Amino acid sequence: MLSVPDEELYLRPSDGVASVTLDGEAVVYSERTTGVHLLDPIATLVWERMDASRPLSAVIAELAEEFQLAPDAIADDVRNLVLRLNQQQLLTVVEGGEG
Amino acid sequence: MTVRIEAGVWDALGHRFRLWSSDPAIAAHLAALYAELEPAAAPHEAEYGIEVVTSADPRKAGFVVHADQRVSAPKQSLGRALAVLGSRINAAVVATPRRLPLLHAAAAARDGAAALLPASMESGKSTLVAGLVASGWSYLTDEAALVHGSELGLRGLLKPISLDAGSWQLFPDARPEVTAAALTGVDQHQWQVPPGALGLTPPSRSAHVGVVVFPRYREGAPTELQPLRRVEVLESLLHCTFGGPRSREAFIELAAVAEAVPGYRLTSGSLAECLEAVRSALEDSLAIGA
Repeated sequence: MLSVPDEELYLRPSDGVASVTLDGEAVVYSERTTGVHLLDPIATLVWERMDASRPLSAVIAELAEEFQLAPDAIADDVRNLVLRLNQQQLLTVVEGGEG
Repeated sequence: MTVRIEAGVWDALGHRFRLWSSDPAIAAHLAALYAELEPAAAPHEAEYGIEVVTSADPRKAGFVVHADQRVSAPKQSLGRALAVLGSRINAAVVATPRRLPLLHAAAAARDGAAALLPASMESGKSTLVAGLVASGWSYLTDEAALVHGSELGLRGLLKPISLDAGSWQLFPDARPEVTAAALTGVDQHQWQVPPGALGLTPPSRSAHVGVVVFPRYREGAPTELQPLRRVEVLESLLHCTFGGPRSREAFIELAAVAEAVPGYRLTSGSLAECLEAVRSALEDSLAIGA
């Protein structure tokens, strides 16, 4: 999946996935696996931006700005998280994005 | 040919069933035990019954539980037969397909606001809810609650309260009595107690969820009421859902409860202190909400 450049990679929760953020931590449920995933506060910030409205590069830039870091300093961590969420079938790639 | 004396036809959270016994006193007892369930007029989907079998062969004599096509080996006490019958009904209620999540929980209410008490087996939830009912709360269930989180509503499985032997000395007046010549001297395995035997407040079919308390009885343990983070409340609710959350909608309903209602973990070895802790948790929650 990550062979697609960050600028062209739009992601959203897969069908049948629901999540809620409580006190800064996301709880993500997959109907397909009936699994429940707890995300830490940093992972939650990434998850909440997975709405296919902007590419992964924009998500990395937003988070870098929020933490006052260079995008390169967080890019690998964000990509690895997104890869794990995709492997768990929680995220779906949306060609060209939405909205 | 077994004579089947009907005790009633009920709807238990979507599972419609008929109860019968071959013995008129047991049929009357069953009717009293399950009287709080919603009477059902529609055709039932399951039948449960207790047949009294007399035989010179002690291996064949006793109380035989019928659950649709399944017939148990004769039980030597009516108490054990009632417990088996109850567990068969519970299992069918749990297996009934539904959109809303069904929690393994006890629940009781005051003025329409419920304390939802989710916990696994042997956590003391039946004893706790029996204590609440004896102190004037309205009984909802000691086993299963259907949660409509977006409206913060809950419906309980209004079955009789199942009290294990360890709790009997706390509720001596609730000892079941079945008067039938065939049953004289029958020992009891587990008491099945109609809520009316414990308190005067009528049971409720539904209530508003006011607080969530996850109880855990530990002999001799000091009473501790520990507030939970909302994510912990949701995690524990999911853990206490029969069969796990079966749909996206069920997850969303539970998330709505965790988001809106305070949750606590209650560890205690004292029923009196548990009752006080649940009362104070509900009052605090309602005060925050007001």
